[in-house]
Amino acid sequence: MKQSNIGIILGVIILFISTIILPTYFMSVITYRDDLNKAQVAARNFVDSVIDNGMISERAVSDLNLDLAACTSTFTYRIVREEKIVQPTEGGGVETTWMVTEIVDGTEWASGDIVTVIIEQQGLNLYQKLAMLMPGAWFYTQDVRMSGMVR
Amino acid sequence: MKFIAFAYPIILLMDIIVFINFYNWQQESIYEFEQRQLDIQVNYAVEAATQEMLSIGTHIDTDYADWGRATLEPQIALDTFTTVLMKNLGYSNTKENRDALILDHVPFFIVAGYDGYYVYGTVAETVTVDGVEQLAYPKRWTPKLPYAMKSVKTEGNINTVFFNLSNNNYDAIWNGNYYEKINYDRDKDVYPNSYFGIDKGTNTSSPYTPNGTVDINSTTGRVQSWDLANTQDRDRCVNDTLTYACNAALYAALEGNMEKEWFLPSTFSEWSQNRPVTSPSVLVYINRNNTSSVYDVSTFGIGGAKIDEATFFICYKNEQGDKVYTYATNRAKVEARGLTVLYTATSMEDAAKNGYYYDLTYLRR
Repeated sequence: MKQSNIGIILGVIILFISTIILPTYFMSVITYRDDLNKAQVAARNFVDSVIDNGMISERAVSDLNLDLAACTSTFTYRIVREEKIVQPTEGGGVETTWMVTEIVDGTEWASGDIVTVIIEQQGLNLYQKLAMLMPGAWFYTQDVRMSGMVR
Repeated sequence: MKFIAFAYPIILLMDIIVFINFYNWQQESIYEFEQRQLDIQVNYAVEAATQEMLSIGTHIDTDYADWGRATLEPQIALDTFTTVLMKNLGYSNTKENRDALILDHVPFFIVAGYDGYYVYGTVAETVTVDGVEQLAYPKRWTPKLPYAMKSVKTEGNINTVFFNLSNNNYDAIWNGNYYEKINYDRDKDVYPNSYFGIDKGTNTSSPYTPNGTVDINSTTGRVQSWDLANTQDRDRCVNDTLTYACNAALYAALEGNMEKEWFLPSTFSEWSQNRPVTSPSVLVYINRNNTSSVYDVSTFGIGGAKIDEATFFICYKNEQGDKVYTYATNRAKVEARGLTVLYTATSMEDAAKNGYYYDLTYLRR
């Protein structure tokens, strides 16, 4: 039986796609979905802690760090504090604004202040990079951002 | 050889099918993530709106014996809601962005007050453009709408019952007279029957009919028989009215293209009653069609708040003679500077309206 070289090459390509590329893509999407869910839960728990207690506790920061460390991908986060300010305006009216302020350890947040946590992925892991090689396939990336007002 | 020739395209076809299915699953996962994210973000925004509505909007005419009677300013709730939601979505908090968000993605915003509700929704207005009259559909606030109304045609009056959210009282305007805080259980032995009226449901001379029912329309326009002495009927009236308001506003905003309706239940089971709205509340619907998901993401938010305790502010003149204010907890620090507290305000609004500016000295506390 004469073997076709083209057939062999085609077979190798199909085998490579079926057993390496596709599973890699599947794994990368599944792990990233799992990571996003963890990051979302971590962000929510952190914001709830701040708006309930009126401060950033060590426990809240520790929990946030541990939750993000459990993710496959590398995530970083930023915390923004905005202090509520009401100023008079011309005509006897008032204007409410929120001013970004520095976060100082142990500072108590007043009711009406807004806390924002932004969780971003840094770079792509190996699986995601391989998945990006697939033509026509795109990789969903999304920051997790939550803002709450201190009660 | 022929088998191999058939195997390659079959394997390729299977790979394509698996990939397409997985891609669809990925889109659903993205949708679930976006949906959950929006739910959480809207919850935070609604919570902030109800909190600010009560903390800023209370006036000196608040009935301190009945906190539920606080006066509301629904515009404060809407402004706070959009501010917090903008921060959640990562948009700049500019007027243009807020207006675009409300116009495109918020079909309605309802504030349920103590004895009535406000709707910020789509209305039809006639405007003149280049001398030609046209219909426009901006968003406007309605006046406060009561939870129940009755039209007594024989006497030519529109009698209104103001079911409230807090206690077993209700107010009423009946035949031109104003009745306040009517409570059957409390007042039946105090006031004579002549004040409250007699007969069971047949005498319409007063809004109070002990052990009787009166046909009252909730503001949905549907006739319901409400027993005014029955708090469950009152709950059902409030829930029915707000349900209709939500769906009517959504219908108007979406031009009839509704895929779902909202329902505020009054009962969960035969044995339990439920009151979704028991305090001044905010009800809002968000519809986003510009997310990473291929599906539209929408959510319904509802939140209420009660007044718990007040935060006070001290007003004084600083070393430069400027009128400034700060939190009352900083009083010791202020007095340590040799300054004298001139005035104690119950809110930032109160201090600002009296001409005091926020003392930036205490911005980082």
